[in-house]
Amino acid sequence: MAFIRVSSPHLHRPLSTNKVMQTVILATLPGLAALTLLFGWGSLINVIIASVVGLTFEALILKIRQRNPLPAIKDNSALLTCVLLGIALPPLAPWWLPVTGTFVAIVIAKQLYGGLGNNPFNPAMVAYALLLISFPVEMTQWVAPAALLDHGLSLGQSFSAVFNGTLLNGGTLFGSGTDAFTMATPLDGFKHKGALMADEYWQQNSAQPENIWQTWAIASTAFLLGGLYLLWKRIFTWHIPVAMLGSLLVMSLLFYGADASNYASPMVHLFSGATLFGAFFIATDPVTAATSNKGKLWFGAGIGVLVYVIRTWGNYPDAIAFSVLLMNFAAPFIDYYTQPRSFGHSKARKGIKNEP
Amino acid sequence: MRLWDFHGGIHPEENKQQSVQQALVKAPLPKQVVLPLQQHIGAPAEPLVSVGDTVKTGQLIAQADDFISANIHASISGTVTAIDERPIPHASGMSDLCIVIESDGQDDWVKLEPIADWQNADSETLLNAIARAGIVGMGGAGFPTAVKARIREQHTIDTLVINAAECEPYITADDMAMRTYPERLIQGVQILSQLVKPSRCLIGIEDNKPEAIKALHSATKDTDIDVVVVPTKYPSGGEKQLIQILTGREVPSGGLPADIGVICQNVGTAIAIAKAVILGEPLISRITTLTGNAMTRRQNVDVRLGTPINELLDFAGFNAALASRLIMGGPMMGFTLTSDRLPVVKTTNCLLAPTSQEFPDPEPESPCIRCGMCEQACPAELLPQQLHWFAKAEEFEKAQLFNLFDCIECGACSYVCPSSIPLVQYYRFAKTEIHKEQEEAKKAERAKIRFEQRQARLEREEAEKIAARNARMAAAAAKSAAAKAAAPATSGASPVTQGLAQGLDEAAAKKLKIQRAAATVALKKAEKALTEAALDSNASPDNKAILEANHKAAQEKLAAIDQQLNGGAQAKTQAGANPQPAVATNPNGLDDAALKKLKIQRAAASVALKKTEKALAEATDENRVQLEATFKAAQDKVSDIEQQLGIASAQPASNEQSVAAPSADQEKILKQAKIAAAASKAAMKKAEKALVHAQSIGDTDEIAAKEAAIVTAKANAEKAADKLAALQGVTPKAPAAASHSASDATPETDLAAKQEKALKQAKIIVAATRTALKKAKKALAEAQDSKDPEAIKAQQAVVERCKTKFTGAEQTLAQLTSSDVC
Repeated sequence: MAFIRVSSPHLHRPLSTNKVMQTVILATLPGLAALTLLFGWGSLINVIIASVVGLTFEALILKIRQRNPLPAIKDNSALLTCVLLGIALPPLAPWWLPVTGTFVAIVIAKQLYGGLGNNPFNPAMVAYALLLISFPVEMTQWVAPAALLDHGLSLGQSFSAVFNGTLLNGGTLFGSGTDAFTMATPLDGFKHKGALMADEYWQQNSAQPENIWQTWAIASTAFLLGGLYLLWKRIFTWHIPVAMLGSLLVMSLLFYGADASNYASPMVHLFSGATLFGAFFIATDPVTAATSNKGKLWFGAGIGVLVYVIRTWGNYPDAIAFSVLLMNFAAPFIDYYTQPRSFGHSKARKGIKNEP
Repeated sequence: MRLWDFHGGIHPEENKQQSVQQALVKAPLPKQVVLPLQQHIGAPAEPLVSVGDTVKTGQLIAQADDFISANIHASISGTVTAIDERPIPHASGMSDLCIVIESDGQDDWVKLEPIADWQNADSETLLNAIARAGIVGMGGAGFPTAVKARIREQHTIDTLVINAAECEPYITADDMAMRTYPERLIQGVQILSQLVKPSRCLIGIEDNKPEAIKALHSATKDTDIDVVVVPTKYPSGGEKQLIQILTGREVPSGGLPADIGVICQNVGTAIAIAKAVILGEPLISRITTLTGNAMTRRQNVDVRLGTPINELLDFAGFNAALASRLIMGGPMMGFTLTSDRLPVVKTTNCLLAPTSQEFPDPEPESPCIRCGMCEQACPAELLPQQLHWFAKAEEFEKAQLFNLFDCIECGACSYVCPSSIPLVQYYRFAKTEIHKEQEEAKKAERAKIRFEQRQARLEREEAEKIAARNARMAAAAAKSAAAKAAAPATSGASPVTQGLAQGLDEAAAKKLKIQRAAATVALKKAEKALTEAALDSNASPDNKAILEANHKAAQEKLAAIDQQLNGGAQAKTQAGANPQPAVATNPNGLDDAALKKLKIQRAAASVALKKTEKALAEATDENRVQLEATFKAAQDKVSDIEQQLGIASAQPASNEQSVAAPSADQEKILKQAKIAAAASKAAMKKAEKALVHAQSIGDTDEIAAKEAAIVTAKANAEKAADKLAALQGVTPKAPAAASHSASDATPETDLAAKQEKALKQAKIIVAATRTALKKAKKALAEAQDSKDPEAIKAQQAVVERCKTKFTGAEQTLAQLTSSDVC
């Protein structure tokens, strides 16, 4: 009798791509919950809009590319990109912001490069960077933490704010009187403190007390938990987050230690903004990162340094997107020069040329 | 004891319990066995039996054919029913030569020759026993064990590792072997120790085999063998990985364990060694695990090699309807069989028949997301996803730079890949393509060398041809110059004595000359037709006769015209009014014409001669006699003409006036002589070369012939050199008419004579070798009649030798013929 021919190995670990993506999405949930708790419904609405629109884009573009959209939709990769983008965008951003961002992420940054696995740049970050450059006002207005507001916005109010730009009671979110609801992030504020000393700045901004970053720190910690879960599940290795956070810590320690009155403390750097979210969910995107363990260390460290440099001396208050994109550029190069020493070889090969 | 860890590795479900619930049993004796001649790495064994032979169990039926090869023994007693191509268990599903034995049901063994005092036996005795038993590595690769055990001859070994890890899921053959025959295993290890003389001896076993560990511990109690329990992790049973775990040493890339002082043998191999040495039992059976949920009796069996797999499956209660595939080997590295009509071979450690719940069909491949899980799992510390990209893009050079060839194809990367990419298959593809490219590069290099050598040879031949042609042209130019030199003497005389009668006479002479030219052409045509007919073996004898008649007629006509011409000239001389120098010059002129004619005739005859020679060289036995006659005739003709030529050229020599421009002529002659000298030298060289060749072949007949040829050629060369020296001595004194005329004829006649001599010799050799060939063929026919294979073989060799000799002789003849200067 005849049997089918299958090449070895015949056993496979039951962990498919869609499970991997699904696990990462699950790991974002604590962070998303924290954001919702702290800043209202905005982030959740962003995620929902981005996901719905993103999956639609993914299906459409695959139809246009004459591929079967079903497997791609099912692998959860587009969903993950949209979730990450939704989280990265400011809460209560107008609806067209996530829509535009999703278009850029899914259609331009992912599918035009050949779809899953072929994109050299992190799609969510491409979208974020593009939005930040194109719509700086909308992209830098974060809702003040709910705790600072006398009354939080209800879900209905939030939807209204997102889709109409108006609050239910007639007020507008942006424009006159918006200060009541939105404010600069601590990093943004600190960046634009001008000639003020650090403690003067914190004092002068009663609405933004020094410990305001601790609010952000709660969200960051939630993302850290999610990241640790992924490490435990071995979805990725420790190399990129540790290298990135480590280099950022070293940089900020150096400068804070040298001049504490003009540089933000390491805690501000590590726990505010998107640092931890970026370290565990953005920089670890395997498609666009370096691959070998040694390469991942360089890749992560590079991001950490760039984040500090851009935050401190650049034009943008937060720098995860730009840093990650810049290191995405460098990833293939890093890969060639960080090959592991293979079993039975005396040393690792560097570069891609034949040794003489 | 300190243990090391290796990078990566995976922990798939072991699934070993299913097949260890029942004790090891013997599989029923098969009714028929199919024994492939190659069940090992290396050269296939050479069969020693033929169809119809009766064999006993354990009888050697195919012998190791090379240093790396292994003996094959009959695994049952019975009759050899076939030796032919059969499908064999191989990943490619290929067929190979197999010996098929039909059982007589007796299982009648040959007398075994155990080594009773094996503890005190020397290495050679033990190695011979292992080699005789046809033992190969039974873990999977099947490398001949005797070869591996000889490793101490080149390397110092300090550690003997017995691989009892058995890390593949499902397989329990080694586990059961250790539980059942722990003492046998230890004996095998001791024999190996005796051979390798290591300072320590380690048995590496995974901690998932507690019963086997217990058995080994009690069996090794009074020995210096260490049982080392290692953590369960796939692929710790890989040779390189186990060595690293136990010793911390890494087998260098592309190297052998022996390079780091380690030799590694599998449990099954060690037991087979013990059986071979202590019982004298060759490798005719092995322990195979029958497992997978498509079988109802999952167990280990001791099975005779060559047993059809379907019989084993029946024995294990196999349900084909449930099976998703049939695997030989384990789930990680085993390969699927497309049929169950295949034999069990020396490396069949497991037959796995899983259900589709156990091993569902592979998921469709989805894009690589470079998650790096493969890299974390790779025990060779490669970058599997990079290798995958390179293999997919057919960037094989980059794949090699990323150490593709260090991949052991363990399958850990594919196992963890979330995109279900068949990574190992990609690597196999890349490896095969690279091997193919390397093969092709080698082939191209060989072809290039061959081409260059051929070009060099062609150039050399072309140069030789040009030299020969130049020589011929120079000779022709010299001849025409001589003729011209003679002609002015006639014309110089005529204006003085020109009269009407003479004018009329001259007109008649002219007419005659034209007629003569026509006759010459006719003769030439006839000659050509004749030679063509001679060449054409199909030409009918009638046709040939007609042609010959034509030829004769043409010749006669020519002769008649010549006579007339001569007569006319004589008459003219007599009628000459003035007894002027013309009296002398006129016949002289005619003589010159005759000379010219003769020379032309001679050239034509030479051409004919050459052609016949060529035909002779190519001819078959049937028309050879005829051709030889033609050849002889042509030769005779040439010598006749040359004689005439000699006489004719001697005539003008008497006339001193005819020598008009002696010095110019002299130079030409000198040139000719030089060319002749050069040609003969070349001939000598060639003959010498041929001699060297003959000597290298070691053929005495040939050597003698060549030596003779050299002597002739040398004589020729010397003669030519003498002539040249004489001429050079004469030249400065310019007008010596006698020497001129003499030298005009002699170099050519001399040369021709010598060449003829050489030719004759060559022909004699051809004839001799032909006779030898005929005799050899006759002997072969007799041998074939007597049906004695050895005699046939011997006679075939003799015929081959005679043939080469014959062709060699013919080539010499052809060479001589072509080197013949016209």
